[in-house]
Amino acid sequence: MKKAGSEAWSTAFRRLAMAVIALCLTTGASYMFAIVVQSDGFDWLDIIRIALMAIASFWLAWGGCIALFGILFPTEERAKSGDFPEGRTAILLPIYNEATGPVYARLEAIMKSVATLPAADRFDFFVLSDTTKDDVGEAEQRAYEQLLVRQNAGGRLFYRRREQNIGRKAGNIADFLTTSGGAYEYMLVLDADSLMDGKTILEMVRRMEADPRLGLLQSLPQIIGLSTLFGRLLQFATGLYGPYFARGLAAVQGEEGTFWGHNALIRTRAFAAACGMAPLTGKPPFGGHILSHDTVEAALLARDGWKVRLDPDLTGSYEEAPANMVDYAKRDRRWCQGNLQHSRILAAPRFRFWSRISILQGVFAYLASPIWCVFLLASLAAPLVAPPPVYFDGHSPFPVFPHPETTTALALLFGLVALLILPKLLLVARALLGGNSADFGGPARLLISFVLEILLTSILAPIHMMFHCRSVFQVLTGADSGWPTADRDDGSLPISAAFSATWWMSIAGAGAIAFSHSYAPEMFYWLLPVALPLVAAPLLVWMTASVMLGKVTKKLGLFQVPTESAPVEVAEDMRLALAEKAAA
Amino acid sequence: MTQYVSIDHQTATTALFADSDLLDEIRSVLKRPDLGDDVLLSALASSPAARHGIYPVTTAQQDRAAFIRTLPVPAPSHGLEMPQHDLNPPLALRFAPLVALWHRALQPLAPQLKRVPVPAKDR
Repeated sequence: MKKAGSEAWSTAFRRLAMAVIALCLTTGASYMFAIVVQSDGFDWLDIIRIALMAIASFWLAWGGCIALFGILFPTEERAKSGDFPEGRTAILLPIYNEATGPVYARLEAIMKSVATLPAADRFDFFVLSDTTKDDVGEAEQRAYEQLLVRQNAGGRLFYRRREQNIGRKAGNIADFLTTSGGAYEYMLVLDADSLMDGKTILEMVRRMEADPRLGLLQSLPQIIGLSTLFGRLLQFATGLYGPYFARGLAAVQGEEGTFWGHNALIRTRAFAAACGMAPLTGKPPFGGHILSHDTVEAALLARDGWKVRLDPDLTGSYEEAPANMVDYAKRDRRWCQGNLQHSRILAAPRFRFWSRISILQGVFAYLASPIWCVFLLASLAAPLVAPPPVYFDGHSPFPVFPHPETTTALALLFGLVALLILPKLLLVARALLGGNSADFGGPARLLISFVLEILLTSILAPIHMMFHCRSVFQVLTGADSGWPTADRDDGSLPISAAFSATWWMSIAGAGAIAFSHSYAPEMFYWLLPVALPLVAAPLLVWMTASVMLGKVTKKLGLFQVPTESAPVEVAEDMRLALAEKAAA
Repeated sequence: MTQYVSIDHQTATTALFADSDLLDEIRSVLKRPDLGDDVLLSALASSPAARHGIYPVTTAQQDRAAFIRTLPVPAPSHGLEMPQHDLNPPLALRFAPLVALWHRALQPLAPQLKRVPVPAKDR
């Protein structure tokens, strides 16, 4: 274990190295692109395109560096206290109109897992309901009473329902702190779809007790329980690449780490003193209560001198995720509004430098798509405004032909593709050489899954881009066109819902192809990898939401993740609890 | 063995338990000395078992403890203060320290910056 001073220096060095590498790659890509675009003459649109390319390639390079640093810098061993923590911990489950059965089944599984610990009596459980629907609220109350009796949890399990959900989840947690927070040293914040192993919870408490300056400890949740093709793809990607990206993030974030809003242990007094947030002046989307509060809370803790740390080696932490692209886009729409709202607090007083970078990253996560989209549109328009070629420049009696830049263009293309694929390829190679390919179905299946994942994510990327663009547009204009209601328990989508969510993409894709064919034929083939998936968006969204295709990949051993090869005990307990409830 | 009695739902729980040591026992089992008698009686009345008119009348301590651990007692009442931080303060407030610093820096020069009264200048 390193001393605090040297740890701070190595974090600063890593940040500098990452910034230098990303800037070098960006400069290289921008320079090459500038050479390519000036081959037919230089105009104002080219300047815009080069600027957009520079921003977008910096974003790609930054992501690549995070993965690279994840390989280079393994997680350090952390200090921990004894098996019996001194402080008490409140395990908080904030819920809002959620399906009662699965929520309580997860809670029961966590309670069972905690009950096996020698220090089980140091943990209490709180269901903090913000539910607005009365029938759901009544079901929650009934489920609470049943769980209380089943687990003999009187005095350890509490249920509270707020009349008004002021401040949403942040307000819900604040309400707990201002009523009962003083009785606990630590609080473990969960989400309605969170699952955590008791041993991991205890390990987190021990690490926090060993470091009195640690204000927040974030675990790395793994995605489980998805059965659609899209869900399995997501599970595989986060299972294989996620730990390394998290290690890379932890390596550069250091003590100004991240908070993802759930599956994290927090020092209650530090949080209460530092993380109260006054609503922003003005109306939503940029005013009112601060959304996506987790990033801001991490920044506030760091501002007050508390360590905020992501420990990627904390396994035994799970969550579920949207099972199809429409649900994924719905969630992104919420996060997009919150992250864009953060642009107003980017210059908040006393924030640490890296906290501001993290907030900026959050904003940029959603602005990157519109930047790519504008870049594509500008590239489509560029041939229209390009000056006609000048063959006789007046200096020579012979015609001077424009210098072809095909080699540079291809080098740039391969460079950008490499930025996207190379980090993943390195991680796959590491899994193959490191001997843990068996967790992903063996070497052959891992390789096939990797190739399929690259192909599918590349095909689906334009659809994600369009969803993001729409979200940003809606946030900026205050509009919300609504989403199709097609909530199925297994996460699949009817074709009508897929069409209703993406018909406009098909029109946009077809329009772009037609425009390119008529007015910018030199861009035609370059545009197809983006435009064709958009034309086929309803079909792709529907197919990737298919449980049958998901089952086929499972049967073939594709997109396998470690949690499938070694079943998760707490997830099994949850399934049992859910089955018991269904039978009752 | 645990025995159960069915009682009239309207029977006051207070009457059943108030004279016994059960309330102290509940505090002890739940390790919650902060719970008052009225809170516990309310918890007893609203417990799932009590709502079905069932109470254990056994003398076995472990059975009573099991019953106690099904009581929906309220969470500890020990709130923390949570001050609201303004993350987007007005510019006047944000730059107040800088303005103060500027004024402090000017202070040594202040006497020289004072204007000379016009009549004195004329003289």
